[in-house]
Formats: sequence, structure tokens, C-alpha cells
Amino acid sequence: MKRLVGLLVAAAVVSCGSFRDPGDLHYARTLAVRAEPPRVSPGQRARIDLLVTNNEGVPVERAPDQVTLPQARPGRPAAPPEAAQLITQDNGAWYVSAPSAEVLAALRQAFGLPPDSDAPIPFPLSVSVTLDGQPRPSEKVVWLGGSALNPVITTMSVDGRPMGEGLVPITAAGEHALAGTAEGEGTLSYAWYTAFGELKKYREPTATLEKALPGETGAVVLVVRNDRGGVAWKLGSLRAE
Amino acid sequence: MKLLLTTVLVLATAAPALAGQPVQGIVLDGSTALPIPGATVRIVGGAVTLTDKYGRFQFNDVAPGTYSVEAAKPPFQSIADTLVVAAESPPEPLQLLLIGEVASVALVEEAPKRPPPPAPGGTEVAREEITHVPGARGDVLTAVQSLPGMANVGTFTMNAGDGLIIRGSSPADSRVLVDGFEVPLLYHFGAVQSILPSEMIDDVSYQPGGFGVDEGRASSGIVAVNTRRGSAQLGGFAEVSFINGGLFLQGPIGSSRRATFAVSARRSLIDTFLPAVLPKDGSLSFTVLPKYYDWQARVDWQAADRWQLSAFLFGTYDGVAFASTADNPNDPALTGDFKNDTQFTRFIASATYEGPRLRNRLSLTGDTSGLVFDTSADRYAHFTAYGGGVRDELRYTIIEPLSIKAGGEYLYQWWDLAIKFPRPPKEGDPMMPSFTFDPPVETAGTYRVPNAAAWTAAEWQKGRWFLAAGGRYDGALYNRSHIFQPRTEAKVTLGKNRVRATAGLYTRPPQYNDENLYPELKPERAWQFTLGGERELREGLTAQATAFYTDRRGLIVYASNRADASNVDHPYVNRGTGRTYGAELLLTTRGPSHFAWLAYTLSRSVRRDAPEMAERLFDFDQTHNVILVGSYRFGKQKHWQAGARFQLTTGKPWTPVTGSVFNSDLNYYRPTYGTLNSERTELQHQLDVRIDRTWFFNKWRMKAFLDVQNVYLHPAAYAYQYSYDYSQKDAIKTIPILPSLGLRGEF
Repeated sequence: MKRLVGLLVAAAVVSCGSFRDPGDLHYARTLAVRAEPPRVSPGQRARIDLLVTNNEGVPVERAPDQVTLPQARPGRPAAPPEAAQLITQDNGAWYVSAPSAEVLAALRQAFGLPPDSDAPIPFPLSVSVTLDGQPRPSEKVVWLGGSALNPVITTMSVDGRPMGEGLVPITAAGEHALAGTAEGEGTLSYAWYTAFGELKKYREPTATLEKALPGETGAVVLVVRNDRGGVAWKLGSLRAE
Repeated sequence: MKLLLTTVLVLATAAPALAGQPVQGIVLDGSTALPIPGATVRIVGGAVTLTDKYGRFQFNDVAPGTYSVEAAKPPFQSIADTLVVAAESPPEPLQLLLIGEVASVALVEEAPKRPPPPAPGGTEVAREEITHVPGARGDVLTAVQSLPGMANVGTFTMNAGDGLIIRGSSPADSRVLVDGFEVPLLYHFGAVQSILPSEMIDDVSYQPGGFGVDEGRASSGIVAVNTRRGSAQLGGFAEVSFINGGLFLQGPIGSSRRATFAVSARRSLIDTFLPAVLPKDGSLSFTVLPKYYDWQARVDWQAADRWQLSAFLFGTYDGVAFASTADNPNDPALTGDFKNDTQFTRFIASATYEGPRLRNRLSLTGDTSGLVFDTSADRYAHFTAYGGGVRDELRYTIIEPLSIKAGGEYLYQWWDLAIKFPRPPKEGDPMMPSFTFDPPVETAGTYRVPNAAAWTAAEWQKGRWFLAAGGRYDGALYNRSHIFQPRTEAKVTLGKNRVRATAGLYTRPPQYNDENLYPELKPERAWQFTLGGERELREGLTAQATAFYTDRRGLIVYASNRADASNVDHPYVNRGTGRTYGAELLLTTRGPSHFAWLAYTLSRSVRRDAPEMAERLFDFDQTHNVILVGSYRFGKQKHWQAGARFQLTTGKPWTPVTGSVFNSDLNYYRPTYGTLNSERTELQHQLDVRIDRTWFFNKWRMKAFLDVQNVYLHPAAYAYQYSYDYSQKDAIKTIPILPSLGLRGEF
């Protein structure tokens, strides 16, 4: 255990490298994958959508290019190949359908879950999208069986002023509080992204934006997740003056 | 105590001693700088005298001329110097340093009156030499890393505190013993200093492999430290350096001088200087700056002619607490407050009987150790251990040339654990532990860990031949694993050549990191084979070569992978295999004013984590490891000593990250890895220098030293860290320079 402690202390100290800021929107990647609803009961289907950003720092909501079963990983149970039939495409949108109770039982067995359980089955998906010429793979779990709702972002503000429609002006100097509130099941976690300035505490309900330059304009994104597969996002815009 | 002290001679053309100038001087033990009373000092072809109780001598009337002067006190050896007496005035006082061979890096102790020939891969290094290895800051247990077979892990690196990596094996495979019992750690944080000051060490037995039946529970090497009894003369020192400050005192107890004591204590001073070099960005603040203490006390009593009793108490403490306010995108929970305290205390009492045919040493030990690691992220590790044990070692000469050695050991430990922590990383695992995403090991309770061992071997020594054959039993009683390990050894001396070969089975119990929590695990096994030879090329120049091969079975590996939550109850299996093979070369030269050695290790160490998996490189495989050490004593009275150490090492294997997958539910990037250990970090090289200066006063001496590690500012990459999405990579480098300036006053 002594070795682990040493490693972790070292990791905590050295992890502050000069890397790209994870809250910076100016890097093409997927910010979140949403299943609507996150849990589907037999007869239902969940739509898969993405929130992505590009190298210009512009976030957009779109459908994935491809949704498939993930490749088997060492030590992880894999879904049987026939489970791929649960993934369908309809008018450009991707869906995951909950199977019948019989197929659910077969999946439960494939995943090594108790056969007499009615607990939802985690159904992992491989979600891919090409952004600025580069494939960006993601993982997402849709729960088969049971029902749940995505969380809802109720407020999103900068220095107490609401965001969401139109540009909200802020002063270039100083620090600005980005605050969000959300409602939903389970434990909620937050992630903030901006197109300019520097973010501190970007994984907290209230983040701090600083070092904005006069004239900078760009998007602000808040993504809220819960620990039951639910996700929600909200976009706003700021202008530094 | 293995003292092979070298006498200083003053050589010159022989000349008769005539009436003239007085000549004064002092004879000192070069290893301790303590005066040597009763030494014979002789002007060759002339007068003879003895040193007084302060090591001083004087010749009253020495005619002008050039002389040869000899000082001797067996078993000290001789070296030379020159004395010139002028007609006008007396010469400067002579200071004759008897350079002592105290810290022996060699094989296990054999029969007291029959020192063994060097082992394959082992060698003997004088205390005076091992304490002046540049870059080691005077620390014997750091300096042993300049010998063949040891991997270079650096100072203040992530792996520096792991322990010793000997002949391509994990630190878990080797043991560090102090007076026969294992210590839980060898170095203070960052491996900046070992837990024992050099002055408390009598000898260090470094056995990279092929050791005898009396040591076990290690499948690779043994570093056995024997502590030092106090001198019968009162002496001591106070020392301060950038690294630490310390006090040492030794002397007789009572007037009979049959009992002696030695006490020592040190405290780090790094916390004094650290604030000046820490970054001022405000994201990292220490509430307790990193600091350590260690302390030692030993009492010896010659109870009767053949009975020696000793008691040794020692302990250490390392502590640090800090707060990080920076976001940690790779492991978001790994931020906030951290506190780490590590300590242990051990008591060892022994009784040794030494007769003409029988030698027996009975030792008892008790210890307590503790580790506290707290974070503000609901992860903690609280570990308290209490232990006790008994060990007996016997050697009996049945009839010349046949003798036996036998012994037994019983160790019992209670562990109180309260842990909620990521699983520790294992060899071959490219992933860092994650506070945020790893399923934690969560347990609380008391674990009892009894271990027993017994051994015996027959030894036959006649003429140039020595043969030994025997076996050792090790029982990890808590999981009912019992192993018998046959071992054999042959040595022969052919003129100036000495050859030695060993073969045997070696095991280590599953007691590293969290292995103890899973009693289904069995000990790892290693068949070791070594063949070595030594030849004295000419006086003072010795060459030594060793070839070794180790076959490893039942290595403890992950059942699947570390982050697999489905294997929390049984995360490990004895499924891995491995091989290590290579050769070591050591070229040593010694003289009255210098020592130097060239150590080269050629090694390949590979592992296979499952029968169906491909062989891969061991985490610390170092194909080439070249170390050149040299030191020269100069000045009219050898007051100055300057040395350098250069090391060139193949880079450390590492596993490249080939991409990453965004996990939307957890909002983190899971790296995808290339072939395990398929790349290497850059070539590692560094130059260390050390300069010593000694001033002699009437009743005391002052020493100053400057020891600089990595003098040409070459921070080498030894690992890599990644951005949150693994699209960017940055090297983690060794510390660019580590200077240590120290002062010591001795009496």
C-alpha cells in the first residue's frame, strides 16, 4: 500500500500539466451522449443524440454517424451478436428498442445477471461520429427494462443573470460565476464548457470563468448527468466587454 | 564487524634517524575518523613508537631527510605516504588515515573464521568507499544501487520508494533485512535517504541471487544490513546538510568497556528549503511539509568470553499533508486534501554464542508500524500492524571439513485495516489507479499473518573446494501453503581465479500490497541459476563476471484487469510466468589514494501474464546499465577527496496510448493501449559529483561535503502523463539537479 500512496501523491502533484483545458470548447469532440429515455421497458425505444463541439468552439446537437455493439473487452461480458438487432436507424436518427421479456432473459444470462431478477440490464453502445475529419468514439449505456427520465436543467446563469437566449454581456476583467441547477433522480454531476476565457471548478454546479478578453463572444454549455444514465444539456452565449 | 582496515605508510628512501626535528602525528580510522590507539608507528629502518589513547604519536629527534614511516595495527592493511624533514623547522603533523573496509557488500556471512569467497554478482566495498559514492549523499543503502544487478529508479521519481529492483524482478521479490528481520520500508520519501544512517551500519550484504538456505521469502535478491555496535571509545558527531540534520553518539558503558552503546537521530530539513522552490501558482499548498525522522539506539554487552548480547531499537516517521485546488480532469476525485503518515518501530534483541565448533545466534523481535492516508474524496487507507518473531541460526562443525548450518524462524503479525482505496497498480499494468472510476478495495478488520521457516544445509570445505547442499521450508501458515526449497552451491579457487555456481528454488509469499486479503493466493516461485568468476588481474585490480538465469512460475497477476468490478472478490491468480537472464561485469581498482569501479549489467527480463498471451518486457527491464564510479584523495595530508559517478541506462519500458473512448455516462476518457511495454523512454544518463574536505583540530574534526546529483542538468523522462482525453502527452522527468551541502563535526 505504501507504493500506491507514493504514486497517488505523485500523481496529484504532477497532474497539473500544461494541457488543453477540458472546459475549452475549441476542440472537436463529443460532449455528451443522450438516450431519451435513458431506460426503456419492453415496447419502448430510446433515441440516441449527441452534443458535440468543433474546432471553432461551436456546440451543436446532432445524431451519431453509427451506433453499434461495442467490441468485447477483456474481463467484461459481451452482448450476444443478435442483440445488434435492438439498434435501429429511422430517418437518420438512431434508436435502441427494448426487447421482449424472453430476449431480456437471454440478455440477462449473457451478461451474467441473476435470471430471476427484474433489474434493468445495462446495454452498452458504441457511438461514433466524425468531427473535423476525425472519428470520435464514445461509450453509452442504455438500460433495458424499467423506466427513468433524463434530468432537467432548471436554471443556468452568469453572475446571477439567466442564460439561454441571446448574448449575455459580461465584463472582460474579473471572475464570473457560472451557476446551474437541475432536477432529476439520483446523484447529479455537472460539467461546464466555454468558448473563451478560463474555467475553474468546471465540474461543480458553480464554476468560475476568468481571463476573458474584450470582444470575445462564444458559447457556454452546461451538461448535467445523474448516476442512472440520464443526461441533459443547455446552451447559452456570452460576450465579454 | 568486518573491518579490514588499511594502514597508512609513509614510503620513501630509507634514511637513518638522526638527531634533529620532532615529528608528530595522529593515526585515525579512515572509515570513522576516530583515533586508533595502540597502533605501531615506525620510521623504516629507525625508531618505533605506539599511538596513545588519542591516536597520537611523536618522534623526538628526526634528522633532516626523506623517510618511510609505517603505521600498523592488525588486521589493518598498509598504505604509504612520504615525510620530508627539513633542517630549519619541524614538519607539519602527520595524519595517517587507516582506510577501513567496513561496509561489505558481499555474500551472507559464512563461518566466522572462514570468510567466503565473493559470490557471483556480489562484491566487497570498503565503508570509506561506499560512503563516498557521488550522488548517494553518504548513504550506504543508496550507494548499493551503484552495484551490478540493480535497476536505476532514480530519486524523487514515482518508483523511487518502491524498493530495490534486482536482476529484473519486482521490488516485492526482494527483501531488506536489518539484523535478520525484514523492514517494511528501506527509504524515506523519494528515496532521498535510507532509514538507517551509515554510521549505524556495520556491513551490508547484497545478494542479487543464489543466496543460501538461511534466507528466504524472496524470489530475487536479499539486502541484509547488520547494524554496528558502539565503539569502546567515546565519540560522536553532529551533521547538517540540505537533506537532514543528525546526531550520533557512541561509547562505553561502565569502566570495564565490556558494554557499549550507540545512539543516533536524524530529522529531514527538506521542509525548510522546499517553500523556496515550490511553484507559486497557488493550486498546491502544504499544510504539513514533507518531513521525516529516524532514530536508532543499540546496546551491546560482552557477557562472557563467548557470549555477546545486544539490543537494538530503531524507528522512522514520514509525513506530509497538502491541499490541491486544481481540477484534475483525468481523475476528478484526486484533488482536495491529502494526508499521509508512515511510521514503524522495531526492537531486536539477540544472544550470540561463539565457540570453536559451534556458533549460535538467537534473536527476538517486536515491531509496530502504521500508515495513514486520508483524502477528502472518501478514499482512505488506515493500516496498523503489530508483529513479533523469533529466529535462531546455528552452525556446527561436525568434523573437519564437514559442518552444518541450521535454523528456524517464526513470525506473527496482526494487521488492523480500514481501507477504501483504489486497487494498487501491479507490474505490467499501464493504468494509474483512479480515485474516481476504479472500484475501490473496501475492507475493515484484523488479519493475522503467521509465517514459519526452517532450514539446514551441509557444508564441506577442503582445500580449494567448497560444496554446500541443503533445503529450506517456508510456510505461509495463514493460507496453508508449505514449500520446500532445495538449494546447492559450489565454489573453487584456482590460483588467482575463483569460480562459484549456485542453483536453487526461491519463493516469496503473497504479501505485497493487497495480496494478503486473498488467502487463495500461493507463493510465487523462482528457480535461480548463477555462475560467476573472479580474477585478480594485478594488485588492486579485480575483474568479476557473473551469468544468471531465473525461471519464474506462479506469478500473481490480475484475473482480468484492475478496473474490472466483477473480480473484486478474487482479483488475482497465480498464472504468470517469467524469465530473467543476463550477465554482470564488475571491474574494480583500489589504491592508497583512490577507488574506482565499472559496473555493467546486461539483462533481459520478460513476463507472460497468461499461457495464451505473448511474452512482454518486465516493467523495469533495463537492457544495459553502465555505472562508472571513481574517487581520489589528494592534498598533502589527504584532506581532500573528489569523485564522480556516471550512469547510462536503457530507458524504461512503457505502454503507448493509442487512442481513447469517451465514456458519456461517467464523463471521462478511457484510454486504449498498444502492446504492453512495447516502447521505451529515452536513454537515461546522469553525472554526479562529490567533494569532501576534512579539517583536523586538536580534539575534533570538521568535515564538509558537496554532493550533487545530475550535475549537468539532464532531467530524463521516466514516464508520461496525458491530457484528459489522451490526445496530448507530456514527459514526467527526473529531478534536474539535487545538490546537498553538508557539514559535520566529529570528536
